[in-house]
Amino acid sequence: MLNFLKKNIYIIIIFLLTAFVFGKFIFSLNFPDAGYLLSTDKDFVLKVAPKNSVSQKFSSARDGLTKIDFLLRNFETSSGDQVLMKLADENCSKILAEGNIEKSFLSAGSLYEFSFPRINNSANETFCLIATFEPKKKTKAVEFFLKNDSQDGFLINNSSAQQSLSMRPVYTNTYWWQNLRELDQRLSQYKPWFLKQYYLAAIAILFVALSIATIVILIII
Amino acid sequence: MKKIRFYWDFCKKPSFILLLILIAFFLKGVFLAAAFPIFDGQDEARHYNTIQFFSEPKEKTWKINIATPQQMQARDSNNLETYNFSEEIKKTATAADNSALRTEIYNTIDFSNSYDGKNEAQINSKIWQPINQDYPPDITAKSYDKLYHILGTFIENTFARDSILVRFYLIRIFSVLLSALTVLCAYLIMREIGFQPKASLIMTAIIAFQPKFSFFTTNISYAPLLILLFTTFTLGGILYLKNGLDWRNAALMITSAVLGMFTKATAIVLVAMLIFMVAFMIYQKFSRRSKRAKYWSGPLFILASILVLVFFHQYLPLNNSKGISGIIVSLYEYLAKTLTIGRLGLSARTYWGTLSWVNSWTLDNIINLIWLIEAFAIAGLAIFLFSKKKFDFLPEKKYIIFLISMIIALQLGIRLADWPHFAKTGSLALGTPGRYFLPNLASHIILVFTGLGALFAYFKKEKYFEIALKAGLVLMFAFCTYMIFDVVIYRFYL
Repeated sequence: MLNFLKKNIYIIIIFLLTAFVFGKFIFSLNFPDAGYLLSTDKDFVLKVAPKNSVSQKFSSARDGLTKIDFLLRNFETSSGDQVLMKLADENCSKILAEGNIEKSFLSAGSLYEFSFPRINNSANETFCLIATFEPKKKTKAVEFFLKNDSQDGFLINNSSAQQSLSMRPVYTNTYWWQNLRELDQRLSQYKPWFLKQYYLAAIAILFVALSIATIVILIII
Repeated sequence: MKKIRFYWDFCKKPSFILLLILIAFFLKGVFLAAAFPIFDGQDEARHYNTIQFFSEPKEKTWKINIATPQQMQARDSNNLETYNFSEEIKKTATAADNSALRTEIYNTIDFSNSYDGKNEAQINSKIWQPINQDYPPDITAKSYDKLYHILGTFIENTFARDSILVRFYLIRIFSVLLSALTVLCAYLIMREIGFQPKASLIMTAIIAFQPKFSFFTTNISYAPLLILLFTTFTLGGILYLKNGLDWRNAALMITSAVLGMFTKATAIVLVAMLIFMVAFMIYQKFSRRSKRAKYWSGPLFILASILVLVFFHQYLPLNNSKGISGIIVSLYEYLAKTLTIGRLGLSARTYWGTLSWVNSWTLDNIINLIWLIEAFAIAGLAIFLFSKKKFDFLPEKKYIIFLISMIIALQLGIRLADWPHFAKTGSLALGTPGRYFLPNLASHIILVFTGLGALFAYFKKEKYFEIALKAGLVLMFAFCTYMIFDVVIYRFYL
C-alpha cells in the first residue's frame, strides 16, 4: 500500500486537486437573478440599530430559491457582529429558514449572502426577509445599502419611502447537471455559433481531459 | 499486449506529448476566449476598434462628427457608448449589456433563459455600421506599431459578411493561436539550451498553464504577438550562442526585433539587446585572435551602453531644468516610490492572474509560496553562476546569463518608460502591472527551475530536480483550473 502511494503520489495529488477544483465549481453553481443590478450609493443606506429588525418582501421568479445576496456598508463578520436572517412567508409570520450572513466568495467588500436549503416550489411566490442586527461589540448599527426603486413593487418595512434593500434572489436547480446546462446557456450567450451550446461544452471537456492526460503521461514517463 | 506496448511507446514520444500540450493549450485558450464576455479584455474595445478602423474604406464617404475636447473629457469609462468607437461596437456593447460588467464585480449581464442572449438576434442582424463616425477615433496603433491590428483586419475583412460576434471571437482565437506558437518556441528554447526532453516538456506545460498568460493572451490585443516575438528573439539569441552567428539566427533576431517594433513600442528593448549582442559578437571575434581581447570587453560594453542611451535618450526625462542633479533626484524619487514591497507585490499578483477577484485563502497566500520558491531559485542561480561545480543536467552558464539579461532589459525598459510619465505627472498612473513582464515568461520559468536544479545539485540531491518539475506542473495545472472554473466563471456567470 505504502509502495503504491509512493509510486503514484503525483497521480493521486493531481486527481485530488482536480476533484477539489471541480467539486468547488459544481457546488458553487447557484444562479443570481441577473435582472437585479446591485449598487452601492453611500447616500442610500438604512441604519439598523442593535436588536432592531428590517423586513423586505420580494417575489421569487422561479423554483429553487437557495440564497439571498445583499449589500452591507462597512460590516465585518470577523468582529463577531452578526445579522440574523429569517426567510418567512408572504405575511412575515411562518419562518421557512433562518441563519447568519456570510461574506460572499467574490471579493466585493460589501456583498454578503444568506444561504438556506433549496426551496422547491418558490416560483411566483412572495417571501419576506427579516434581518435582525445582533452585535457582539458596541457597534452602533449595521448599514444596509438601499436602492431608490423596487424590482418587484415591494418596499422596505412596507413603508411609503420609495426604497428597497439592495438585494437579489439566487437559485439552484434540482440536479447538478441541470446547473451545468444552465451555466452552458449563460456562457453561450452573445457568442458565435462555434462557441455555443454543445461546441462550447465539448471544447471545455476536451481541454480538461487532454490537460489531465498530458500531465499524467508526463508524470509516468 | 504488443499493441498496447506499441501505443504506449508512441505516447511517450516527445513530439506526441508536445502536440498534446499545444492542443490542450489551444483548447483552453478557445474556452477562455469564450468565457470572457465581449469587450471585457484589457482595452479590448479599443484594440478591436483599431482593427475596424484599419478595415474601413480609405475614402471616408460618410458623415464625420468631430468631438470637442470637452466631449472627449466627459467620457464615462463605464460606458463604451461615450467612446469614439464604431457604431457597431457601441451598439453591440449596449445590446450585450456590457455596461453591467463595468459597474461592480458582483453584477453580471442580464441573462436570458436560452442559449441566445436577449438582444443577440439584433446584434446578428448587422444593422449597425462597423465604421468610425466620431473623430478622433479611439485607437491604439497611432504610430507604426500596428502589425497585430493589420493582421486582425484580414479576419475582419474575410468575415465581413458575418456578425460582429463571429469576427470578434475569431480574432480572439487568432490571439490564442499566436500564443500556442509562443509555447512551441519556449519548448525549442529549452531543448536548444540543453534540457532533456522530459524536463523541457514539463516546463513547457508549466508555461502553458500559467494563469495570466492563459487569460491575457485570449484577448484582442497586441500582447500575444509581442510575447511571441520576444520568445522568438530569445530563441534566436540562444541559437546564436549555441551555433555562432549564421543567417538563420541573425534573421530570427533581427526579424523579431523589427516586427516587435511594428507591434508595440516595448519591443525597443529587443533593439537594445541586439546592440549588446553585436558588441558581444565583436568581442568574441577579437578574443579568438588575441588573448588581450578581454581588455576590450569593458570599453565595448561602455560603447554599446552609449549607443543604447543615444537611441533611447528621446524617451527619457533628461531635459531637467536643474541639470544632472535634477535628473538624479527625479530618478531617486521614482525608484523610492516604485521599488517598494507593496508595488513589487502588486506587479507579482497581477503577473499570475486575477487573484483579487475572490476571497480565497489559497489565492491570498499563493504569491508568498511563489516568492519562497523564487527565493530558493535565486540562491540556486547564485550558486550556479559563481561556483565551479559542473551541472550536467542544466544549461551552460552563457544561456542563463543571456536569459537574465533579457529579464533585466525588459525590467529596465518598462521602468524607463514609466519614469518619464512619473517625472511629467508626478503620479504612477502608468505603473508596472504584471502583464508587462509576460514577454519573458519562458525565461522566468527556465531560470526558476535552473536555480532549483542547481540548489539540489549543490546538496547532491539531483533526483529532487525531477520531483520539483513534477510538483511545479501539478500545482500550476491546479492553480490554472482553479482560476478558470472557480474564479473567472464565478465572476462573470454566477
